Amino acid sequence: MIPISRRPLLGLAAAAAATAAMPREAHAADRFVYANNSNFDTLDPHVVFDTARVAVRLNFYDGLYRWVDNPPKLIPWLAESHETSADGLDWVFKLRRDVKFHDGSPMTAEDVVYSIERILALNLGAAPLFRPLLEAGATTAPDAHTVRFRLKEPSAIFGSLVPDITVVNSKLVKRNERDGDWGRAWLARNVAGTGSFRLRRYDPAVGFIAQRFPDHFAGWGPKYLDEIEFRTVLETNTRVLGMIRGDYHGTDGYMTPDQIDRFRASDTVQILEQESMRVFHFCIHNARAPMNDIHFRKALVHAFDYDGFINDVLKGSVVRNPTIIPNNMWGAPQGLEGYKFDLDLAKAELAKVQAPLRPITIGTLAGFSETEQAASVFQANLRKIGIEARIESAPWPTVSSRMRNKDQQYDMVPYWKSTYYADPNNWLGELYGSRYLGGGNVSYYSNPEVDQRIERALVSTDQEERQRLNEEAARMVFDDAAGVWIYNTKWFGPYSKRIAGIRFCPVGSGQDMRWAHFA
Amino acid sequence: MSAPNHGFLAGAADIARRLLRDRAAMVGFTLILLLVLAAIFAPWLATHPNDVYEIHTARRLTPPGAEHWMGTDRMGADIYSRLLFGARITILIAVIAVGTAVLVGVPIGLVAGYYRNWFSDLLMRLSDIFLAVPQIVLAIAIAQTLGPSIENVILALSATYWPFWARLVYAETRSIKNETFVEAAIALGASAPRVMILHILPNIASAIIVRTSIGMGATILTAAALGFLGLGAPPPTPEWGRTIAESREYLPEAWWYALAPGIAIFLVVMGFNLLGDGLRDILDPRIRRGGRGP
Repeated sequence: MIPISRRPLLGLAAAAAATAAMPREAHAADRFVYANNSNFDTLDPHVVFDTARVAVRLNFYDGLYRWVDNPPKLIPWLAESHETSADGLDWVFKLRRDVKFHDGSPMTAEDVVYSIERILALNLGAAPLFRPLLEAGATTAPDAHTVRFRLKEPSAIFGSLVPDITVVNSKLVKRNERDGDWGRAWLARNVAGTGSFRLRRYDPAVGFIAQRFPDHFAGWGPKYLDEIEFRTVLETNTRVLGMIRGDYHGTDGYMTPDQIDRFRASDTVQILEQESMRVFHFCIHNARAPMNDIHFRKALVHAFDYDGFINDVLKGSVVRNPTIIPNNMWGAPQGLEGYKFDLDLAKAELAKVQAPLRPITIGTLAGFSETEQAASVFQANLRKIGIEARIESAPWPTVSSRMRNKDQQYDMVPYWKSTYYADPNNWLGELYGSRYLGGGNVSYYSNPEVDQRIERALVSTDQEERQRLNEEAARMVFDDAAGVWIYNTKWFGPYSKRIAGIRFCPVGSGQDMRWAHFA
Repeated sequence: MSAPNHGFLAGAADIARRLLRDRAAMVGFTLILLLVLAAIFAPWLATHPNDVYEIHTARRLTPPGAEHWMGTDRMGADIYSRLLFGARITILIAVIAVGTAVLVGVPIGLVAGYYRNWFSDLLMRLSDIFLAVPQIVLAIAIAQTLGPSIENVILALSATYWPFWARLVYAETRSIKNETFVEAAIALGASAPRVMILHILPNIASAIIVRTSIGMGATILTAAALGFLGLGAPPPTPEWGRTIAESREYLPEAWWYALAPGIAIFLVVMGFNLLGDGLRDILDPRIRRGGRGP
């Protein structure tokens, strides 16, 4: 007989038992699992500025103010109040005195100053919004709980932007700086915030797990989530089936009606419905031939089958939005009818185009099949008027960085312009204003008449005037056919029936988890 | 090894006769024939030939029925018609990619096997480098770098597939070079190219043919995998792998969407494998499937 040592066998058995116990343990701990359709390649709150990775900014970090509810409203957050000088240039924020970072150290005005300087210096993420307004060094801390921003020009929207000054722990980040990188390498994988949750584990390929931060200054309600996980699940069907099976408790609220129908048919998932502000459109590269010819663009806007896409592909779950400004946002032109799908009109416009035609490239977002379907609808109809369209698919981080480069930008990109702050500038100004060329203006559209109105609307304090200016500018951009605007989204948030307290806001799309809890 | 030296036509006829008796190989041959016929006659066989590029959003995801034999896809296009046109792409990719791999791999293997010097070592080490990385991984890397299109898929497949033929031909050439009839030809003063092409190549042709037939199946599978990963032809190309990729978010409800191209790929790959097996039995008597008489 061959002698067999029993020890390795016992070890194996123990390991097997541990593996078997793990999933059960995870369920017992009642961890909230969110299946995210994009990966968290970085945790740095100042480097990216999109909805796909907003969970990091909302749950680990806090801003001076915060957007909540629908329609979005601003509530005091790290700051208690603010005052503006008569010339509109000095903005003084009074900070709360009881705010602690996750490491226990108190948050002071120094941290706010460091954070805004870091945003400006890195010149990524939300920086294009702040750079026209703030010079480096223009922010000061008169005392430990007061911050003063000295703007370059008066701004009607600065108050709406302060939620995006996410505050990092300056002492901790400075300790981890390497060669003056503002701690970029370190903060990509670590968290130094005051937010509602503390980082427990992070893997760029998998996502992150976070624990509730009991000492958060805003306090906690009677019920809350102890642990949250944002897991990267790129495959739509995996997210859908995982939700139905109960493996995930939440996922993105902008799935196609095909998928929403499946959720509704299941008995584990509830769908929370909300009006949102997220305009789906084809952004057109206005500076490149032949799209720099208005007749070519007019041919484009008349060649998209709006009704077919909205009523058949999206089963009528959304409403047509004629311009880039969402219908439910002030500043959206009243009584304006969107462009009609009319191939004869499109052909007539195309006949007036001087420049030689060439195949145009549409960049779609891998994993967001709706963008591909919209592109296919477009492609089929463009073909009928003699324009060849090529569809190229790539992951969002790739598409997004190509869009920001004038030479690399595709000819057209179908995507959603989400809400980052509730002001028409979020859509109209950023996509068509010359001041954001090289930043958010990925249409590479520039029109002095439009600019004049956008600029004026940014400094005016008269709400009526601001509304009028935005409406006028939006009409001009519309007349120029600078984009193919399709619809304004409704948010259909799929959540497990065990979850309650989801507080939806178009800014962040309901991923601020501090309000949610197991029912 | 004795090389029975029939005339070429007599040999081919003999092979065909023996192939006809092999039921599995005939099934394979029939499947391939169907694929070729589908590709050639696609415009006539298709019920909705325009659906290769036309869409009908009002009819999306219709289950199979009298109007749409295999249902419709997410754009309302007829899956059956697109499947037929997809056969053309499948054949195009497989024939060009494998053809290129053969044209590159066989001469390299011949030269490397015939001479025994540093150059043949260099060629073989080069093919080792390619073989060290799994073929699909290398193909993905190449196709991703070059950008998604049919041309690049073909390029990626040819670039990663030639070493298989080079290896095979190298080994066969090495062993045949020591045969008496080769030594005789050399002694008679035949030039190296003449020995390689007229004396060695015909005697290793059967191994190449078998490898090529099985290689076609593998190439179709790899091409479908690249299409599935979004590295193949962009929409609206009716490529089979890409159709399966599109269909996966509608599973299991729209089962017909993935089923039709899935079965098509399965049958075609099986066809090439069965035919390859049958050819090997006949052409290469050393390796035979078990349980069969001569």
